Amino acid sequence: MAVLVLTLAACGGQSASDGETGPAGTESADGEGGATGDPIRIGVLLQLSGAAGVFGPPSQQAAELAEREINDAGGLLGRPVEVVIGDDATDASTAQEQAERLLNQEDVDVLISTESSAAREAVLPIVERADEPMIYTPLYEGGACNENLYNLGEVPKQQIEPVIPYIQDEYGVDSWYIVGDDYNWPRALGEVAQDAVADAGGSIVGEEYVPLGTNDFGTIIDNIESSDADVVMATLVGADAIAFVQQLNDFGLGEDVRVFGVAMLENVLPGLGEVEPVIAAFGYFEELENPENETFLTALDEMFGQDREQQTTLSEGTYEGIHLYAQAVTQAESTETEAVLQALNGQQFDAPRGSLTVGDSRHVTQNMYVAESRGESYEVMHDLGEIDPGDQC
Amino acid sequence: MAELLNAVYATGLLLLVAVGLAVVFGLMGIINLAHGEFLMLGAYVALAVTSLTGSFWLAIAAAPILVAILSLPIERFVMRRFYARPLETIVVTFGLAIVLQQLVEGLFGRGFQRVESPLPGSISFFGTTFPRYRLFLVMAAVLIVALLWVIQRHTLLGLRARAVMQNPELASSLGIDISRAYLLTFGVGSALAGLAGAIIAPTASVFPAMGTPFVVSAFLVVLVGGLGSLGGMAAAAAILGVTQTVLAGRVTPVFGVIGVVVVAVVFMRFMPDGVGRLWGQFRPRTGRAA
Repeated sequence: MAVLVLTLAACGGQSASDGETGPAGTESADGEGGATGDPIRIGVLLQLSGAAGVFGPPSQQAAELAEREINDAGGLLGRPVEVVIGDDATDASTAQEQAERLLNQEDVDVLISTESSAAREAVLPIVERADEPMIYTPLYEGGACNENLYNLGEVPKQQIEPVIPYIQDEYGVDSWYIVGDDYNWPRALGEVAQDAVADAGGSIVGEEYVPLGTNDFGTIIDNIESSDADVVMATLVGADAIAFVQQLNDFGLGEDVRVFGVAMLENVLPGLGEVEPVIAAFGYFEELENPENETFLTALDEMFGQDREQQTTLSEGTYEGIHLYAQAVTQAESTETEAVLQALNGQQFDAPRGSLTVGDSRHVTQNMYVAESRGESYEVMHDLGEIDPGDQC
Repeated sequence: MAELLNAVYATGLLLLVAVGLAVVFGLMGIINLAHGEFLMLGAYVALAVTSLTGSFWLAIAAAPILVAILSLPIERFVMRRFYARPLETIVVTFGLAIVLQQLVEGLFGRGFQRVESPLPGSISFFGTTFPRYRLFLVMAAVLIVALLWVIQRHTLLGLRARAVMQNPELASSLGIDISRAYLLTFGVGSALAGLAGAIIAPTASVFPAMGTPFVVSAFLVVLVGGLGSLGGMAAAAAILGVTQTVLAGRVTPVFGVIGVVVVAVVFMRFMPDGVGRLWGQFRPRTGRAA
């Protein structure tokens, strides 16, 4: 029934285009950079509505900022760029419709996707048929190796492997319990954790997966208590993660059992009450202190004022995706698919998250940071340095 | 012991989410797919009242009243037109659910929000710990069902409601204002959903789609229990709550959810009139009951 609700709700969410789909070139007339001619069109697929609808709006703002920055610097190859947004309503088949629209009607030159893995897989055949490059930006389970595809997000090799030994050392824990939602990403991370925990000299004393939408974790918390675990790797998303952490604390285990919230992005923090700090590890936090991040956040503040959305690793990824594409086009001196895909390999970009390098396996070497929750935001505790994504393909 | 407490809590939670539906679906025969959204509205009332006044107990009092008031125009202008057409109510309430979610999203934003628990901490209970608020939730669920039973069986209001639901024409000829009876019954059902939503709010988080996962289990409880039977509903909640807890704990949580559906289907196959049939009670609108 829940699935049905989401599907029908999706029908209303055709497109939240940013109002810049007017006649070609109108935008460029106002552009300060003075680029003229037909715009280079950048398709951006986001989750602006539906179950994961909270993640879209910050990405949309980041995309609009990237568009403005590129145009202010004179556009690309002397042409202005134009971002065209599509809303997949957190639904793979809507993602396909939107990808068709962007690629075949709006004639975009690239597809930047900040969506679920399910949407990525659904959209890839359409991207192949249109033969355009695609950049998939969010953290994911790894191993997506389509010829037209580059991936920017944190893979388990980055988000799990170096983090587990760090948590064991820093918090003096070694007895892990894995609790996740029951779909492919948590299961894939669970497998990576098996090896990572063993390598770090710890042990996994329990592993459980619950259906999405679970709101009572009493039984699992009892199992955790009797297993004597001292740390939980929670690959739960959204409301499930909140309910779990909340109830773990309600049951009085908050102090004895640390929680590594692998998918606990900033948006879940306001849902948590007074709980023991949660540990998170991502490639980007708004709290990072570096010049690129300061510029990024200041520019967003100026552009959106009061309405500026909190940036997360997901939305910052959308911003990087657009800039990396722009760099590749500049280097290739063309928007031709083959040339752009070749130029993307080896691109380096000083992003708000730190320096990124695109590697041979079409994934990205990036910094990883460990943070602890402090009320409704994270405090960055440690920089794990640049982490290689390994051989993903 | 921990398993028993968890089963009791699962039962209480099921009772709480099903009790409003037992009135709207069980008595009126409306397949209300927006039931979860009435729960959600109650949770948002709790959120608003708690942050305005600082008192969760006031919020619990306000939630059923405000949700009931909100439900009255919905009954008058929408539901009323579909009483004779149960299949159409599915589509109508489905649309209503989307509208209510979008309205709340517009008013409160789509992010997760928190209602602080008025009873933090846990108590020790025969060697296991159990959160105090969970204990409160179970007691509240039992109290609500008991109160509803008293109203239904022992007050004039309950008598009239039952009369109208069982045979509207006859009730009308006896001078009962059936239009008002429908309005009141829908209001009571919505109030109960709103109350449940407010009570559930501190156990997890408040967000526009929070009601959706509760709808299926609420329907299963009412169907297994039997339409119009509060005792049956309580028994059904216990059967399904124990099934879920035992399977989730001893096999996997996924099996817990599957098990609930399987057990519900088996009961509906062999007791199509519900568990409540076993001790024979009033049943409206079921041809078989006669």
